Amino acid sequence: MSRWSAGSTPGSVKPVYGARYPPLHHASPTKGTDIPGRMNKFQDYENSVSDAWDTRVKVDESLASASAAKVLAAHAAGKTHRDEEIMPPVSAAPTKNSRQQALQRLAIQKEPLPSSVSATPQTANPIYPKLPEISDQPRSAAPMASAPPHGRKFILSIPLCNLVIEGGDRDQTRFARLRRLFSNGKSSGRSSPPVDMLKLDQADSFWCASALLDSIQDNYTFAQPGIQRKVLQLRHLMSRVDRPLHKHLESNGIEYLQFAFRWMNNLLMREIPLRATIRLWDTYLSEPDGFMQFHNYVCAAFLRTWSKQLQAEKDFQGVMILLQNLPTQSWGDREICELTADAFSLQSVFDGARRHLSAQAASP
Amino acid sequence: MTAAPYNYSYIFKYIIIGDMGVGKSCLLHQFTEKKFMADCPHTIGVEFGTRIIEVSGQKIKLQIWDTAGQERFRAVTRSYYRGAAGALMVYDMTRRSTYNHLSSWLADAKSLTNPNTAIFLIGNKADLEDQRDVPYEEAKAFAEENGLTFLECSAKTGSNVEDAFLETAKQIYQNIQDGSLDLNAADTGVQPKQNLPRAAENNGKKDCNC
Repeated sequence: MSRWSAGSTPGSVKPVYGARYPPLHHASPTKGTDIPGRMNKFQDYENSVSDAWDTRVKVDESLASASAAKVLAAHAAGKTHRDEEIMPPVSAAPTKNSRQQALQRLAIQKEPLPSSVSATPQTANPIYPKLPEISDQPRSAAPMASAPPHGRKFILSIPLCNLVIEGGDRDQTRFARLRRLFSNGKSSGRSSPPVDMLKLDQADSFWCASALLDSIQDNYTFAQPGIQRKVLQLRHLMSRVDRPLHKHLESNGIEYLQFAFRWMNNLLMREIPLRATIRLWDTYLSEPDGFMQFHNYVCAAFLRTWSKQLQAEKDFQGVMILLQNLPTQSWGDREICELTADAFSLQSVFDGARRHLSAQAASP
Repeated sequence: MTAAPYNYSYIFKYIIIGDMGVGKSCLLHQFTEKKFMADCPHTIGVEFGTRIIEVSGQKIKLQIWDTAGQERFRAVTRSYYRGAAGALMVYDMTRRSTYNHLSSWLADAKSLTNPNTAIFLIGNKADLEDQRDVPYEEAKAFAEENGLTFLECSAKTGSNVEDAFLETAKQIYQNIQDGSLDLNAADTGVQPKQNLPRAAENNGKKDCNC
């Protein structure tokens, strides 16, 4: 098995899982001292199944059924193994650090990922057809684009498919920038980018997107539960920080989901000009949990920026049309500074005070 | 637009549905702004538009929800079907796949709206006649089979766009007049003026419908 087993590729769905709750390679012996032989047995069993995520490995039928029989026998005998935690919590700091180092190593790695990952079954949609921006590169001239390791496709297709919305819209992903860079040569017969550079940029783009989406992945899973939850939190927060506006919205039949869905889905990118978005996201990157948590306070601050104007509108359509077309065309650094300052003060008051927030807001 | 907010008799709620890229947002924009939006960004979730029209001398305010065509937003867009008086089901007549998906859009529309909802079938991009991929007769037959009203229009040139929205309103208004649409029932998508919250106190405020 190479070092890039399917179960240990950083950034894939499985390793995220594994980073916080690593597999029991170092099963803690703190409580398992009752039977000396048990530890070894467990370790043997663990070793035999630790590659279960790896779809290439064929399951040893006899071993599996023997293990199952053991478990069944143990249960039948009334033995419980409460001390064997399935997902022991680990301290975040060292894991995170080593993960970051792994990310950095990967980002500067010049080789494509080892071929072992290409054995991953191609069940997911490949990302390349979804990226028309780069798929029109001459394939023979750009081997990275034409023959990416399949394992990568698998990983890329998960987080990036959601970013492609914006990539298609406004050329804001790095992929799109890359494409523009090289499509300048279009008229004089398209020149292909240096393969090394393409590789670096691809890795770079991937890890950037991966890091960005790590904390907000459930914004983009089926039915987008992350967004639903955040919109509800925004509603609670507004009922606390700007009650007149909150009441005004409610009395006009406006639901927060009707306007804030886009705020959450596109991280305010559609509401403010690009230069302001870059400035805002820069703050998100520098805040712990910026995209996940701080964003919500920014949305609240953003909404109350328009409090007066919104309250001047006296019916559903007036408020709704204004909310969809907020006059932010001239926004720049200054406005974002004020916005994030307000958001920060909201966060320092309300963060972690969930009950405080929701106790009264539940019945507005 | 000159109509003041209080100057209408009914509010009708509409939804616009159909595959991604068939021109739903452009239809709405053409209808509300009378302009063609060339580089229309993807709709995220839903967007809202409004305009006051006149049917049989009655002023009617249309509240139109333009939904995202992308599958990923389906969970959100489905919640807007409920309480729609009219549904515009749009396909792109230059792309057959968007026409082939109509049956699933229709199934959604039928199951999630109330039985009185006026469902219209709209073939968009009629200006691209030379790229036509769906014959008029075929779509017409599909519409008749399913009890829909069918129109071909172009959000680019604006042809038939007014009609698409006006005919829907006429049909809804007709249903109110002949009693088949009961205004006291829940989720009809029709709101008579007297039931509007705070409608009376809004006079003198600036109009905001444009």
